[in-house]
Amino acid sequence: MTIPAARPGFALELAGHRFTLRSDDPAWARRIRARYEGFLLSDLPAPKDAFEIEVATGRAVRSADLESELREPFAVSRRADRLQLHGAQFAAEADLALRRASVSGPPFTYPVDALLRQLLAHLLDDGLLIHAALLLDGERQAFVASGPSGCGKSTLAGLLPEQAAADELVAVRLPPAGPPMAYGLPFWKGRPRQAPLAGVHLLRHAPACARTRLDPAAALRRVAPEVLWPAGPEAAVGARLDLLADLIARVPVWDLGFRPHPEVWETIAAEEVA
Amino acid sequence: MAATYRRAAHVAWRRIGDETVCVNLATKEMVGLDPAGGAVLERCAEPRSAGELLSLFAPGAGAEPGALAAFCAELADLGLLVPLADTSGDTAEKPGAEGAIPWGPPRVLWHEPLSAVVNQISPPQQLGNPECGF
Repeated sequence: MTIPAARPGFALELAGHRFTLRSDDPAWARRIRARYEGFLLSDLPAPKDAFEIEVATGRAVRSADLESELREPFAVSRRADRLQLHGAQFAAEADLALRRASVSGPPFTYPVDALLRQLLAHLLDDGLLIHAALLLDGERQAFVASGPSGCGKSTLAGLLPEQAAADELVAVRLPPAGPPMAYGLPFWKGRPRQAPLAGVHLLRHAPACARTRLDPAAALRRVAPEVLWPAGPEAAVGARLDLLADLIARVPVWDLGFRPHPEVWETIAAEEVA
Repeated sequence: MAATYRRAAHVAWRRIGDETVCVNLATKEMVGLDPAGGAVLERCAEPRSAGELLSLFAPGAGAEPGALAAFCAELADLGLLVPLADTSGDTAEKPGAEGAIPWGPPRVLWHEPLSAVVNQISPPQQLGNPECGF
């Protein structure tokens, strides 16, 4: 992987991790910059610890091919410090030790989205990426609302625009001291907000709003499939399993049946009755 | 000749509470095992036959080599164990030689695919969205 000399670009911060994005294509650079606007740091030069990403425009493709690409999982592999992503229309490669990556593909934002998500899954060694919406009670507490596609994450975020800080992917970090912290991410309608995590709700549609506390085993079974696991090595995935077990031990996990009405917030933010 | 099995290199696992939770990076699936099943998986860090795995279980409780062999085959089907070319006969060990797990046929408790969309960009949020360039 060859990273050319510094090109114009910008820096952003996701869940405490900093990245720089550079591209020779001004139109694409503007598009990506707009995509991550809320998460941008001041203009370059970027912080020295930032992960450098070089973006190169590939060939134009037909919209039907793009739709197909977005609906099919792309390949992710990791060998030693090399992380590779391959879609039908895009490719990315990262060196996790050198903290550099390149991505090429059609001039849309999804190749960069895909790379950033995978990089975060590997770089976040004190936390997890969870397929979830994030709801905040100011800066006081945060609630993760997770579940498989169609369970209502985007619906919930749309119902609660004041509280919503993400509607698809959330970072949860578990520092050695202090409470777990939840971070909004720009996938898709995310805001750069963070707050101590007060609970995880696993969503399902229901005629009325009601929640039930899950025991640790049930919580694990339902949360684990919604984690974006690193592509390897085994030790890194095992460490994330430890973090997931720690998370479930530290915050309550609920099954939440809800109907699409803003009153669901009262259920989510209710104090737990002992 | 008896089949031997070794834990697959692409499997991450942890004992969490009473369960052993496995992430199969090759098949993109998660599997939960009961305590006996977790002990079998753990012991298969080195190649083991069903006969050798008998030693995990408490003596006198009726541990069944056939049930262990079937369980190992099930884990192999799930990609958690790798069957190895066999070069020797089974070495049956006595129950209780190493461990004291009460006997019960080891079981797979649950089996879930990793959410495919977690690894993917949500198409509805991208397609037709001018902010994504479409």
